[in-house]
Amino acid sequence: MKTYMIDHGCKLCDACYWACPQKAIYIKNDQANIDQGKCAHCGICYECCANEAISMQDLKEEEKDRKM
Amino acid sequence: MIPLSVKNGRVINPERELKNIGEYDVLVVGGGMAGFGAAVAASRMGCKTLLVERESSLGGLATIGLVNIPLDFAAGISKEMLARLDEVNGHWHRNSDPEKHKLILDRMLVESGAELLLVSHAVDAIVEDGKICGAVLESKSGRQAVLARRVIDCSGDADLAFFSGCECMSGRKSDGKHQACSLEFRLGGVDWGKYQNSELKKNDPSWIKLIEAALLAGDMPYAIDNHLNWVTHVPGRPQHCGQDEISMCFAHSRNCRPLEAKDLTRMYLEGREQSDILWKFIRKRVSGFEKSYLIDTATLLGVRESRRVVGEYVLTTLDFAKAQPFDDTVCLTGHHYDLHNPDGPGNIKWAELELNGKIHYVSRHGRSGSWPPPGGYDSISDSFGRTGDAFQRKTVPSSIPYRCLVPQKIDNLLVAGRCLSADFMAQAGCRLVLTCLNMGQAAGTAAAISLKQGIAPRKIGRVELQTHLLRDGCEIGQSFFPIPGIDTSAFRKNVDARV
Repeated sequence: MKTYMIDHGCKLCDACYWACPQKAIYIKNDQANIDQGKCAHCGICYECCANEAISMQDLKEEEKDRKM
Repeated sequence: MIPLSVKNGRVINPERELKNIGEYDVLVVGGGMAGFGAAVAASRMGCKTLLVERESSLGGLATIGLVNIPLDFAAGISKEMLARLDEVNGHWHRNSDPEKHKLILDRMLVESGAELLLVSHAVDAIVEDGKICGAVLESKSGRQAVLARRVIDCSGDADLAFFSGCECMSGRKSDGKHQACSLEFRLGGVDWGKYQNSELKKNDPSWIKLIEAALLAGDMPYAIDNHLNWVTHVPGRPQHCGQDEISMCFAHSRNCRPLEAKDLTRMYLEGREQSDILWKFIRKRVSGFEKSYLIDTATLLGVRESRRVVGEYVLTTLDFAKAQPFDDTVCLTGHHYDLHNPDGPGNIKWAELELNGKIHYVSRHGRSGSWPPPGGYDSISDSFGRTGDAFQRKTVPSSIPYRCLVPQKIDNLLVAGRCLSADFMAQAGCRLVLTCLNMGQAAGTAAAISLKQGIAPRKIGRVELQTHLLRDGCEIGQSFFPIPGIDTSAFRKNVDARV
């Protein structure tokens, strides 16, 4: 499972906001953020971010267990 | 040959017969993203279609303008186009390879059956009894005429609409000023990974502080802009070996007159001088760019706004802020006000609007942009005038109705792209790469329906047009709101954001 984070490179273009099937993107502190509770780890936001402001990390095994 | 007829400093072009190079069902003027979408849509519906483009390739600003950032809703032809780019490793993260993009557009247009005429300017409209019936072209072959039953103006500057006598708007209503124009440039030899992990990217991602420091140190002689607009990472290049390629929106010309060749010339020269200053400043000061070099500046100047047609409806600033759905919505945009400051450096992402008798500074985003309103960022309100914690973001994208593509007065003419019928601030949000393509697809489809029915485009039924667009995979708002008179339940998955 992969986890996604949006960094300060966000230009508020809203691509991820409209694209997210889970509606997990919210705007706070002048940038888009991911509600990790709603995120389904599909990666759509990562792929549609034109500013490469969304980073992807593999969750460690222990985190995976915790999440499950 | 024009015989010498100089009288009192005037040159008189005598009446002459023009060679007619063909008769078409649909003539599309301008091969940018809107014209591409219009020609492919019309041709696929069986219309004998000619696309005329003044440059040597398709794509306009998205290719030779180096605006290789195909943003907005990918549905219909635009979704197909991104999938074709994916096949040739020409697209990632909504960044495209401009060269591969040209080739994909060539192929898709040829496959649609449309004819293409490059390096040809449309210099006049042929009009009879209030109906446009062709255009005059100027090229290496001289001055020639082409006749057509429907004309779609995708010139970006509403050239054909203007030539045919349609009422047009240009610039900001208060002072006639236009948005700033930009000449984009590409850099090679970039260590993208190093930049992505740099302190600059982390702490000053829009380079606002960096630019202030450069101005103080004299690395930038004047504020070409006060922030970095966007930088794209061109796909399909070597990675992780300091050989990444990026393109950048940074250079800006202001006080533009984009309908005058003399001022366009000034902006090309200024854009190249600014690019020279900027890439040297970037190489000196930005982590990851130490070994970068300038590959090229764009062939085509990024004109964001010039002449717009007055259509059956003029999309307003308030419509855009409210995301007003229309019965005849034919495409959407998820974008926001995006005005490159006509007066000075900075990007304005709010609009001055009178709501309930009081002036408000309306935005979708709260604090975005690099030019605050007179009352500061805290004064920014939503479309109901709410500020601060009460501010609510709109939850549906803004709509573009079909009537914004239909000019008043002249029949058999449609427009698509940045010259749509919209006021100054609304247009500032309707000019993304895929917004233009999607508008083009709607206009091409409308032209074909009007031909089949033998009626003027302004008279076609919106339900028939919208049903056609839905079947062709378009997003006309069905994912966000009901379309009156149409059961859209089968079409809610038209948009695939992944591509």
